[in-house]
Amino acid sequence: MTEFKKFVLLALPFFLAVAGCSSPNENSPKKYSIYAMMKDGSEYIIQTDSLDAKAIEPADGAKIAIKDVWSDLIVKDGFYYRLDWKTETFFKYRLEGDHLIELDTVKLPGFSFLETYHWVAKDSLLLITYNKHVKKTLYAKLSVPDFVLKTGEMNIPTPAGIFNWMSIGFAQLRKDKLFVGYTYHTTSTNGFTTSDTAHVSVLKYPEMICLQVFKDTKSTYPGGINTEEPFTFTDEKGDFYYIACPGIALGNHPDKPTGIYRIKSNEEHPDSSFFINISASAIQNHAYGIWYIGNGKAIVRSERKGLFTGMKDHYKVAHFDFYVVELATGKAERLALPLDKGTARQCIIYKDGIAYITINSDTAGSYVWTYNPETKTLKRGMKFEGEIDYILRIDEL
Amino acid sequence: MRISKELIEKYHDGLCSPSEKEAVENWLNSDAVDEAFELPSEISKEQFSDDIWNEIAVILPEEKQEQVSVFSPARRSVWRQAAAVLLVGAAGMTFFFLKNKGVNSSNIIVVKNTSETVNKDLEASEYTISVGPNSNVEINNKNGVIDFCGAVMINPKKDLTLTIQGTCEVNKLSNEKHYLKKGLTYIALNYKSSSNPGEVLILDDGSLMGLPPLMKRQLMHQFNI
Repeated sequence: MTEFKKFVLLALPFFLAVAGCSSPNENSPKKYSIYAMMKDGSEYIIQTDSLDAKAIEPADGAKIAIKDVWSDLIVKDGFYYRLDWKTETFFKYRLEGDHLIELDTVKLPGFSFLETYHWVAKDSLLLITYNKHVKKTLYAKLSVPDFVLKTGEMNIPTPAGIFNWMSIGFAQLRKDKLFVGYTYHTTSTNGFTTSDTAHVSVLKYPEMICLQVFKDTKSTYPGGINTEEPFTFTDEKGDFYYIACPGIALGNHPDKPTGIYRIKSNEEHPDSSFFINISASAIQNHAYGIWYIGNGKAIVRSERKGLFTGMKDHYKVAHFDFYVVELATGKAERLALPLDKGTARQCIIYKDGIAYITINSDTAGSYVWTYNPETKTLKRGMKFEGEIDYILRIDEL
Repeated sequence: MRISKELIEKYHDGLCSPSEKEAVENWLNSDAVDEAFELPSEISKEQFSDDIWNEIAVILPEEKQEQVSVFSPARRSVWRQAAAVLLVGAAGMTFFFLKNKGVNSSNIIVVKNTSETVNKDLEASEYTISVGPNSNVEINNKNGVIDFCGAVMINPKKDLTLTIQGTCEVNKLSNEKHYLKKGLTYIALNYKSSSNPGEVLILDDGSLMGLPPLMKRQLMHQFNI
């Protein structure tokens, strides 16, 4: 073979790959990302610049080859991040055309599943896992532009006595203090139970040294796995709120009520004078997930007992309500939306005074509904076309 | 070619090259059971035979396990040398049997997994089953009924209908038929929740999202989903 032929043979695939790339404009990220599962089990991500369009067809987007990725995703600034538990590898992706393109990877030894993540700075991501094999809570601080990593152990009491597992439900950095919420479990092959106590440790950051531990038994399982749905927010005053979810779909300690806790902006401990008992409010059920919609109001997504029989149908029967909770009074008011399905979903974006709520109803279709908290008006907007089974995520890019 | 434990496992998993496959089958079909067999260096033949027996005991019908239990400690020591040779051969033949002929369709197969951590795998002609720790399963191939207690993963090799019943609570047998699709992974679970200690869940891997995350992650980890 001549040198020329060798060159053509080696260079041609590279040339074709470069020539086949779309222009930068076509690949620039849009404003919103939607993740849907179709009735045949296939999963798609599609991006859009507007949630006010008439309709969108998720199957026109990128088909996702790996099942159930939706629950692992972290979405920010046009990028998708994900930990692969089998390879203990953290990935960075971008959607280009109808493909998720892998941009970077880094090994995270000891990380099997993410418990929670927290953006400690614009480009700095704190990832937390509990490794049951070494019985340690591990963290990784990742600079996302260059994927440079710092890892270590967090000084949090590990499970002891009857407990053999733990869940880290949130981490929130305030100056040099990191608030970490967690609880303990007893697991078996086919079930688990959760401690009756919600714990919050205050760690010195970045040393991760424990300064204080606070315990509370009004509810349990503070926070949750925030790749699946949000469990915390910070309001305009800097007060930090977290929801504890002991219902069967998360903490599995349903005798305890779902509740909202607070750490005030000028304090370094949970506010003992503040607790909203969601289950004792007009909701009268357990709730999961919380979305702040400004001016002291948050939306919670609550299950409705009597419409499902157990975990067998909890995820597939439409039984979820949305309530607006006034944080000052604890008053809860139901939004007149069709019942929603899917046990956990990233389903609300609050933008410019409007809450965009995706509703996944078998009888009333799948739509984006808009809620204006000022006027208390609800409107049905963009329709999800196609054989939609679940709208699993809606994220702002 | 020396026949090692790893090679037999590879053969069992269907990952052998043609030459390795031929070597294993020649070894299986030869009279010289242990001549070409390579023991792991760190253990004795006796230990190895014990280990293999512990492995295969759980996938044999219950009657077989009862037969083994007649070995008293004293008699067992007498039989150790013979058992070492026979069990090494039996292990290979068992792998061969399961891989190539499937579970005898006329038998009721009982698998009891008393391990705290490790699954026990069984390959039948129409599906493979992985029985989780502290779980057991009884398969009746005549009527297509699978009774189980604990956590079990089923991988159908073709579309099929099975009656899958959770037997942790005997008064809750459902007799419910389930249509399982080839290529999907199914988890059968006697889920113990605080509000319902005996809920029977049959979920494909795409539906595991309906479980509490802690339970879902445990199952994904245990069955490598």
